[in-house]
Amino acid sequence: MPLVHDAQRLFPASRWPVTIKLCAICAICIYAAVANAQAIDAAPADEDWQLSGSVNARWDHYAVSGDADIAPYASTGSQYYSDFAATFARRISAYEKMSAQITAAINESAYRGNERGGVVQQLKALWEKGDAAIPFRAEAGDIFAYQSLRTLQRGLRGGQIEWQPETTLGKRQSVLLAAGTSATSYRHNSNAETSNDRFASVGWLLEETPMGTFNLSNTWASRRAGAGASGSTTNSSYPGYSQSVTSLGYLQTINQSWQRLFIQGERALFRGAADGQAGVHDQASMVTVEGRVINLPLNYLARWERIGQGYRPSGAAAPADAEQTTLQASWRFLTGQNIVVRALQSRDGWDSGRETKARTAQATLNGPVIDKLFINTDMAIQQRRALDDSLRDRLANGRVEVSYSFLGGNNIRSGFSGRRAESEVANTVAYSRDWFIQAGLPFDWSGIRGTFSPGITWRNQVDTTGTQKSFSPTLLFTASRDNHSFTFSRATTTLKLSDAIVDASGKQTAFSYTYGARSFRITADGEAISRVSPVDQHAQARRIGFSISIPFDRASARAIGRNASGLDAGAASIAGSGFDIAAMGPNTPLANLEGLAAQFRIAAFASQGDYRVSEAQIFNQITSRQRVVAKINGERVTIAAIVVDPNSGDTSAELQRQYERIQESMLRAYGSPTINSTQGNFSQQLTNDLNAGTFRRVMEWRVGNNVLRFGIPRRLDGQIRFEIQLAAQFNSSVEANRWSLEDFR
Amino acid sequence: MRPQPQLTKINAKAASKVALAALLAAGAIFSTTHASAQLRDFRSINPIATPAVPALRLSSPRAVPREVVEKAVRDIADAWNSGRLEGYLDRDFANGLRLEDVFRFTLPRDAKLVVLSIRSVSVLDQQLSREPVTPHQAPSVVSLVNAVVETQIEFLDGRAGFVRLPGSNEFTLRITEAF
Repeated sequence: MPLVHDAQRLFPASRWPVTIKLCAICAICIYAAVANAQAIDAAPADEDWQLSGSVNARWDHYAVSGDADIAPYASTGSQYYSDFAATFARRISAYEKMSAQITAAINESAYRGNERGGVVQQLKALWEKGDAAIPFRAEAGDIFAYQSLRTLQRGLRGGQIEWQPETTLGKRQSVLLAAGTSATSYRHNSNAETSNDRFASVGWLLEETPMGTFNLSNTWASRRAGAGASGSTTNSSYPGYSQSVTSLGYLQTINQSWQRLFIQGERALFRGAADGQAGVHDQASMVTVEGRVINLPLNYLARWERIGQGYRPSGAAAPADAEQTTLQASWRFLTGQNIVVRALQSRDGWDSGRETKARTAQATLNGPVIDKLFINTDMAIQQRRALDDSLRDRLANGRVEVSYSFLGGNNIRSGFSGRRAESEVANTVAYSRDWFIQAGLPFDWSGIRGTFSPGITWRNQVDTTGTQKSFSPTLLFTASRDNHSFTFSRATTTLKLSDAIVDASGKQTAFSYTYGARSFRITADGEAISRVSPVDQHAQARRIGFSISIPFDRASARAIGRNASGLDAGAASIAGSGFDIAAMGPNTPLANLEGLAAQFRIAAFASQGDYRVSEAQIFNQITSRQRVVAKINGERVTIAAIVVDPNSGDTSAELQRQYERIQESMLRAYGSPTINSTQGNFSQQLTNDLNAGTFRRVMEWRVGNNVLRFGIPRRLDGQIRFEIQLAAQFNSSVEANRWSLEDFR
Repeated sequence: MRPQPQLTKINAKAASKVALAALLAAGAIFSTTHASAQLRDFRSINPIATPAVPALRLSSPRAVPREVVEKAVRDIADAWNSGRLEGYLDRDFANGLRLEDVFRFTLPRDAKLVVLSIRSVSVLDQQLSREPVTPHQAPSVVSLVNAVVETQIEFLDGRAGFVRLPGSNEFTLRITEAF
């Protein structure tokens, strides 16, 4: 089987000009399986349609007693929804395929979405034809339009078509046309034309020419002015706008004898209206130089980005009026430890005369210390100063975490973190300290396997508003046998403020039963909140729920080697790393994990209780610790996950940046989400906001018969971390946001 | 220099096969954080599968000069020793980044690949391509060549001293010649 498609390297010979390419160095036995995924011209034609999907129904009853103001549920009584997700796929030939996805729901639940009745949530059709005169890929419905981070990157409802004509200028080229609207619903809305942003974009990408890779694009965005939504209680209006942003991106790889350099740049020009101002002209620039020393585990990066005050394209998430410079180096020791040092300088408001300069130095060290003992430390200091001297402060924080595995999967984890903030203007000092210890104790009693996970978290925070202390013991118990699984969790938090005491406790139990491919789940949870001072308030909230999931699958007779959605394996992989979480989704045999680790170039999976864990770098754009996790029941995977632990020194802005980077990767890989639940903002009190339910970031997609969820879930230990989980079903709603892998630390 | 127990262990298991293959296998353990650290702030191409460029298969393959193959193998070994092997790897070489990680994190820094001998050389496939090697030239002949090469990896180990890891490797080369 041919493994190669072109030849590049000139090789002088005595008689003829000769080009030589090393296709494979031995190891055919090792790579044969992997190479199958790379060969694109050997797949047989397949005329059959493949259909897969599931029907789900869920009923919950919510009840609140006491003071409803402090209760966690705003809507009580019975809440019901049923949804349907299906994927149709057909491979017409080795070079042509079609697919369609639909997700629809009958929703009578306040916790499922804002719309009631029959709702089409996601609709997408794809047609790819490689044997046309010009190979193309056309998409309609829910698309993700992406040109660059600073021009257009958002989910739209519309269509896009990409042509990939042959070129002699470089390795490949692509012309992309995209158009769509930001409408959040397929339902007709008489006000939609005034409230939705409309986009049209064209881009030309020329890859790997001798001069480098170039990406030229132009994006237009507009919105009609309107008087506000019908029924609105306010007289707010939507200002209309029309804008255009032109961008040229550049990427080049330079190979030297001792290092390899990646040079990247982008220059974008903005014209039009922004924030009610017409005739705005502004620009954004970025230059990145990333290098690695050949034969040494040393990487380094220098990055500079400047965005003008008036640069506000509505299709991108670029922060206006900001400049940031980053210098970073990392070294990986032969014994597995990784150290990263980073220096940042940011100038917010540099273009508007309201400049605040922040300088940050940060260091991170993680890796194994001795056998089964892992350490994760980071520390940062930051100095901020406003140009007008209205702000002068110093921040310092640090964290040390150790985890230890012992005696067949038992593990214990403990950590301490501290933060100190000194304001020279206000002459105040605020600090906080956190300490936690948690254990994971797996057991196997007569075929009943599970985990017992106790934990304690203590927090002390002192600032100008007073002292705040909290103490939270937590307990999580999971057990399963055959098709039955049972989960119980309990968390109690005693929060002592200067003038008030809040006592909150919550407990949740869940039972699920799987019969064949069908699964049933019963969930019951409750929460009690008592506030003693300044006013006695007490509330109890309870919820009981039942759900059923019935998958269906009509596999093509010749659809061997494809995933459940009928798409080629890797079609929904995460850009950069190529990782496809669906490949290790629910029901994947445990024995397959080793091969998947090799396929995706991640470390071998290590056992940690009911989990198999691999340290990995799935999202290249962020430097936080990332782990690929498989939760095991018996010999099969029940939940596949990626867990990203931000560094303790990361500010709320840095957390938001990381979240958006991951979100961007997920949107690129999986398209527009079925559910996107957002509440609150990234603030310095993120932990409190998350636990109080005033902050939420959750996205959900249908992937085959499973549900893919990404977000920041609430955790019993209060830890902030990003999680991506692929599961047959979640026992916590998006709104409750308690879907974290609690016993995985 | 730190000892490399994994290397020794795997080599002991697969001594009769290939030392390099053992190195690649060992790489799976360590290929973690720096596999692909490249940042990219704009879109990339997700290639659409297309039929290969039409080519004519030669009914009677002609031999590729052995000296061309020998020089290619020795140049590849030189590239291996100087950390520039990636320039020779095909763009679609499976797990190329993983191999790169093995060089960076697993292989002792003084390790050298020595070509002991080149055994059989055989042409697996040969096609007449419409793409000339250089402008104004006739079409070229593209040969897929298999060469069995006896190699040895040598390095100094802190405990074991001078270590030699012999192995038999199959090199698969694509050689393009003017027709």
